Amino acid sequence: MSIHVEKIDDYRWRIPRFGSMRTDGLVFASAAMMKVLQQGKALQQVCNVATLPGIVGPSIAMPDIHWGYGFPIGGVAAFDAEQGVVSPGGVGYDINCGVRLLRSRLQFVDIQPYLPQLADRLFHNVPSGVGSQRSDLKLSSAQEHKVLSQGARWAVEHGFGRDEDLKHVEEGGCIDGAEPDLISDRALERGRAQLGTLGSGNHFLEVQRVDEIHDRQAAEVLGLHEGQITVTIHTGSRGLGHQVCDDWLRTMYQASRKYAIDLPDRQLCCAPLTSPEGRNYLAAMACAANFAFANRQLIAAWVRESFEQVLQQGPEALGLSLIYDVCHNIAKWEQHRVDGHQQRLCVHRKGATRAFPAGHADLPADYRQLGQPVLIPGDMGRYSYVLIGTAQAYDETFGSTCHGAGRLLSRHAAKRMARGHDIVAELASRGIIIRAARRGTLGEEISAAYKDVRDVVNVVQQAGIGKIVARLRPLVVVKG
Amino acid sequence: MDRYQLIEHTADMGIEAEASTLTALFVQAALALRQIVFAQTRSAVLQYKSISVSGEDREELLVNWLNEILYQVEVHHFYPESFRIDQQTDRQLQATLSGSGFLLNGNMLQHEVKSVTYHQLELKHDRARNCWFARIYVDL
Repeated sequence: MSIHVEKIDDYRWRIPRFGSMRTDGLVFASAAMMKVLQQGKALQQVCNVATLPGIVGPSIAMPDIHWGYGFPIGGVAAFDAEQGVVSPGGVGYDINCGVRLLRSRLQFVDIQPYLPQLADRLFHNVPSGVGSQRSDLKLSSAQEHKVLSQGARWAVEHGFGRDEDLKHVEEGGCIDGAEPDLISDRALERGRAQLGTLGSGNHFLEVQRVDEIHDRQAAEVLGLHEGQITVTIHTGSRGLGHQVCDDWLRTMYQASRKYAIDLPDRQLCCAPLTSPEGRNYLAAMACAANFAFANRQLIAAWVRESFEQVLQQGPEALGLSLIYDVCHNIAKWEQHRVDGHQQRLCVHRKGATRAFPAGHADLPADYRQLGQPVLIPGDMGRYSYVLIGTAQAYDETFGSTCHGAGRLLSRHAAKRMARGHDIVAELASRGIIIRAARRGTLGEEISAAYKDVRDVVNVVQQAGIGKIVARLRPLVVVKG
Repeated sequence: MDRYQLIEHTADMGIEAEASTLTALFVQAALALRQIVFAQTRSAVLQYKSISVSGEDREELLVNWLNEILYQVEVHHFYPESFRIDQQTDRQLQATLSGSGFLLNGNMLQHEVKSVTYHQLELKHDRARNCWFARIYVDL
């Protein structure tokens, strides 16, 4: 069924409420993107989310929207604390999949001769690919519980990183209210061997060069300048988060029946935020989110270690300080202004990024006048972007913006397209060194499999829900 | 007539299976999942694993059955060469997986599957064709 959409302006589209929708859909997209979207099923998922009880404001989709499970990927929805629901399908299997960006004191010219060696070292030091792990990190059951309740702080306290890192992580690297006792033995078991691992699929680690500055003043506050070396880490809560989601889908499906919630899709199962099931899911989700914060903190420590080993320079000379770390898959309690009144809402962001504006109390002091850094990875052959949050996003999208390029081709279709191409050599000809645990991953992750992330960030900038600061080009890519 | 095929999804992958009996359908779905997860096949049978799975209904039982297989692969590094379902109702099954362990540092694995999902899950008996059919998506 084709979904009826009305154009609001060049970058906004309304899906007027119909059927059992409780609110409109609001889609951020260019006309070309909308044409593609209307041929797929993601818009139906925007409508499905709009049917959930207690939704406040529209069911929102970002320009990187694609077909997900339950919620679309690129979906944002806020729910009233009293009347609303929380849904694991609004967070996804990879709870707190997110991105972390480090800046360095190095320029491209300093590092260019060392890049092949650095690629090998990063690939060796940071476990990537299915089943890989560091032999020197063995987590006891008690330690794993601490990781779940303390997040990135656990890693810092165990020598992985610096205290000041935590100021530059969303929520300080730890979501309050985590209850490790709610986590199943199976989730703990899956997590124990996977802390400090990149994983496979679209997760990656990149050494990059700042190749364009779009907003000089903002770039200066973030400590970014042209030619500078940065590092991006993209990963999440690994098997622990996947299992938490799976465990709670069962509970939430029963809860949906118990509380007589009509579901257009079983994957949207949910429970009232005031119910024990709803509260417990958020406490379990916080555990998985904290695991993901710790995961990225550990990997960042091994990135620093790798640079020190290859370049034979100390931490002071290398810099490698944390610009920011954002969540892409999360549900969080936040205060927003709705119809002129402050309201406590549970904001679900599934494949979307928090993008708070200048002046927000949750931002660290050094970014308070600037706005929140927003990290938008692209594909392995092109570029990624750094944006900052805006007041417009705070007013219109519950302080949210896009999260990435968004997939365009299925893995099979991408592999078919890649057949006959030497992807490693083609990337090398463009100055990109790649190390991948499996060659098969490369075919699935070719640039053509994704939208051009430039188109995505242009839409959010034109719509005013994000402001582009800088563009980063990959030099070294590590994939699972 | 028991068979399966892998189907495409923008971000992930799906399975369509059909079989003459519900038990055979579950085995076909398991074979399809194995094809998604592993890059290579093995014929050695050195270990047997008895597993019990339950669910609120047939659909949940199918999801839990496939997730149990994923767990055996991810945590116990077990390659299931064959799947025998010994007993099955709409809400429970008991099965024996035969196969062998594998080394993580080899090239055995192809995809890391996060989970089997309920997204557009279909499990039905096709009266006209007198066969069971299932469609299921996995999150990669």
